[in-house]
Amino acid sequence: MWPQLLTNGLMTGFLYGILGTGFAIQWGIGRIINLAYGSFLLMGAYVLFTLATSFTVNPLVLIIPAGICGFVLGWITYEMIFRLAARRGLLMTLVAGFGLDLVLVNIMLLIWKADTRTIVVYWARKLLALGSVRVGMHRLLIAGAGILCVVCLWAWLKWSRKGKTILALASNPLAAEIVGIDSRATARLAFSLGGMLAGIGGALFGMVSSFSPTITGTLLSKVFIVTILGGLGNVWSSLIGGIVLGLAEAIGSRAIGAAFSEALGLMLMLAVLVLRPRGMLGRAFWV
Amino acid sequence: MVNDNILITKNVSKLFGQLRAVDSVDLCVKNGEILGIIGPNGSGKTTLINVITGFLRPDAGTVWFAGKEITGYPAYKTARMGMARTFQVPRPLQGRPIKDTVMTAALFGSTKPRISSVHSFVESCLASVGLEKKINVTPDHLTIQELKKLEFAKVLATRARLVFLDEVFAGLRPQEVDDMVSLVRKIWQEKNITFVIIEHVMRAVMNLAERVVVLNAGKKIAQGTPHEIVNNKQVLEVYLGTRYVAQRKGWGDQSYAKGL
Amino acid sequence: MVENAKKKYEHITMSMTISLLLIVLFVVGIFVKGYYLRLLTSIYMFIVVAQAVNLMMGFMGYIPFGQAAFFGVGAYVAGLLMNRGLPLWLTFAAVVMIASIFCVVFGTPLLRLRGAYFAVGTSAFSAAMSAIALNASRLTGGAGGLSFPISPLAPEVLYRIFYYIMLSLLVVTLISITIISKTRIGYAIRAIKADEDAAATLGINTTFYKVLTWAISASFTALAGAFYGWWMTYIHPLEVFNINLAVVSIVSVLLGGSGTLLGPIIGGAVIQTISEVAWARFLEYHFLVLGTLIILIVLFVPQGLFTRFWEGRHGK
Repeated sequence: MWPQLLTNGLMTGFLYGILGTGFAIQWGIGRIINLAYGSFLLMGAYVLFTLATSFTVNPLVLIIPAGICGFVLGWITYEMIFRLAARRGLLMTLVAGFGLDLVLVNIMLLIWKADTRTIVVYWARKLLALGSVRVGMHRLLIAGAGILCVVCLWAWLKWSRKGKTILALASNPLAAEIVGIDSRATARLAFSLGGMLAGIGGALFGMVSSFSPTITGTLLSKVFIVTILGGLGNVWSSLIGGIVLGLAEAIGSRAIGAAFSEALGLMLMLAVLVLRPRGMLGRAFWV
Repeated sequence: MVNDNILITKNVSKLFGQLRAVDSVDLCVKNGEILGIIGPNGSGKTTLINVITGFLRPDAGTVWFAGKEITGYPAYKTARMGMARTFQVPRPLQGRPIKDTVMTAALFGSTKPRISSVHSFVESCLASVGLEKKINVTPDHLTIQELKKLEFAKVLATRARLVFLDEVFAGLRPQEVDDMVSLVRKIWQEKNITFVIIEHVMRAVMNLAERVVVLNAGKKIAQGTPHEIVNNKQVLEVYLGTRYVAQRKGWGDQSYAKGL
Repeated sequence: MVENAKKKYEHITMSMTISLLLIVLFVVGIFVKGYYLRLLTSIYMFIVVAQAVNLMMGFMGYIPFGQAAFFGVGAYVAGLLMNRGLPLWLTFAAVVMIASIFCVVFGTPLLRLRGAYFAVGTSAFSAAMSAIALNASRLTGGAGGLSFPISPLAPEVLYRIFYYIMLSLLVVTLISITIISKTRIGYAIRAIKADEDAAATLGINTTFYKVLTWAISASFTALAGAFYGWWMTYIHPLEVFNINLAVVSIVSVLLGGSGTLLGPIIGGAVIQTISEVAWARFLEYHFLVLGTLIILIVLFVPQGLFTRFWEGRHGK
């Protein structure tokens, strides 16, 4: 029972982590706390949904267009809203993000209505048995796809020219400017990358869980918890934070009942905030 | 303990990780004197003040103020007991007329007056430092010298008995330094406050301090009158380097002091 | 000296304007009916919350994204106690007490956080309260919500009574905040906003004042929540613990001008009215309207309407 429980928690944790990575990048590198991130995620899910119901292609492939849409969304919102908001300070960024979330949710409601949707991945519905533990094949594939994306991102950040500029900007904005890095363009790129990951993460989420426009708040909440738990240290911190959350929820739901495990995650986050605000992997963004 | 030492520290240490910012410092400040604390950058002067005034907690040692042990007291408590400090970079309340800054200091310092009675007191504090004409101006309209004077007015308003002036002469031109020195001396004589001056500007230290303590790398390495200090071999080595001191002949004369 | 006189003059005209406005509103309450009666009542309540948020944000510089927690706590405590037949004054006293206790217990750790972390921490707090209310079904009715005792009075009479109740709460709030801003507490709070560390060196016990201010802010918000539940006779966790409340209050304060007494009044009235109109007329686009408004405010009027107006009239 325990191995199954922990595996489930682990799988869920992986998903949480992938969802949170884009947010952490927007915060840690783009230096923007994007309160509309929940909507960014859902947009990815809806894009995937629309494409999957229109074309008969393997949904996993469709996460690429979802990611592209996320990238574009990030780009546009950064240029039009977040860049100015950030100049006016943290409070403005938070409020602007909140307003944007309202707008995006409304748009989603108008286009796709309030019905709950889900994307079913037929061919991966098999159950894989590893010892006494059963894992849905689709969950493994999704976790795998997500991790693959994060790995690609990590590699790109580390070895490509543009990637290195982003990291430079993240670790020392002033020095970056002095050596000639266009901080505005780079921040925009970083933010859009976060958007791309949101699109991908949201699409993967849509394959695992049902969704509707009203859940942006819950998603954002999970993402926040994951980010605070993991810290803003590097590309992997959210994944680790996610795994911790997933496991905690799994254990918690056994110990105190499924209902309170939601509050548990929040309490965990509060505890980390007060006791070790840097999270598990520290602050300065390094790869 | 009821002698005329207003402040005593015994064996005070403060560590930042492995760095011993303050290393077993013993300090005695006599009631009513002007004490100077000097030392190269990074010698721990400001950290020592932060520990004494309660900004930081010491890792070892004890601090006594007017006969009472205050080790580890938080900043607001030491302020209420009658200790005040200025900041190296002046910290007025931004965006509000300087009257409010001084008023806040007066309301929360070592006394607890009612708001109605405080206005004239605040005006007199500002007048003591020469800022009475700017009473309703916001800090962004003041010069650096005026900002430092404001720090001073703040400190006066708290009616403190022991005042730490943390590099208050930094960034001032020689004429302005002399002005500030006269101001400090005037207030010292009028209000019977004990001053501890942490400084790099030797001109000020030499002209004001009766005794000087020298810190280096967190340790106290010398104390004495200004002239004794300035001719102390170890002090000179710390500032000018051992090789220079060894090379100079006749470092025992007063020439170094005269140059200031 | 001329400046002092001018300042005093401005203060007097401001208080006179507000007092006049309040008198007008009291009188209006006798005549207004139906939809407008309810609209005004909800505006008053919203302004109370905005003032509470302004106390934290505009005066002290801590942005309480979790303010909804107290609104909900006030609503639920009031509901539970009223359902058990407790006399009204006792119920509301309990509401204030419990909100304050929350602040003391959670404030000491939470108020040590600054900036973004305080915002995140308090909104997590609020979300946690929401989750608990949703799940503690036996106590709070869970997802089914909580009902309040229903009064036997006729609706028109009842709504008019609530109009005056909310208006009275608003008056009390305004008076309290005016008193706070003019006394020692006010100076302490403003010093904390300007420079918290420097404030400590001036002798201000920052932890004490932060918790105290939060408790005051929380009490007013909790009372607003309690009155809201009493008025609506039914509350639901997602409604009273909704983070919307905090954020829209913050936006109202920003719109009207933070740190002033009049700011939240103007901002709150404007935003709540727009919100209600949008809900009534364009239900489908309600969020879109609100969200766009918020974004526009952030981009174009971040310092507040009132400050702009004030500077325009008197120069800087």
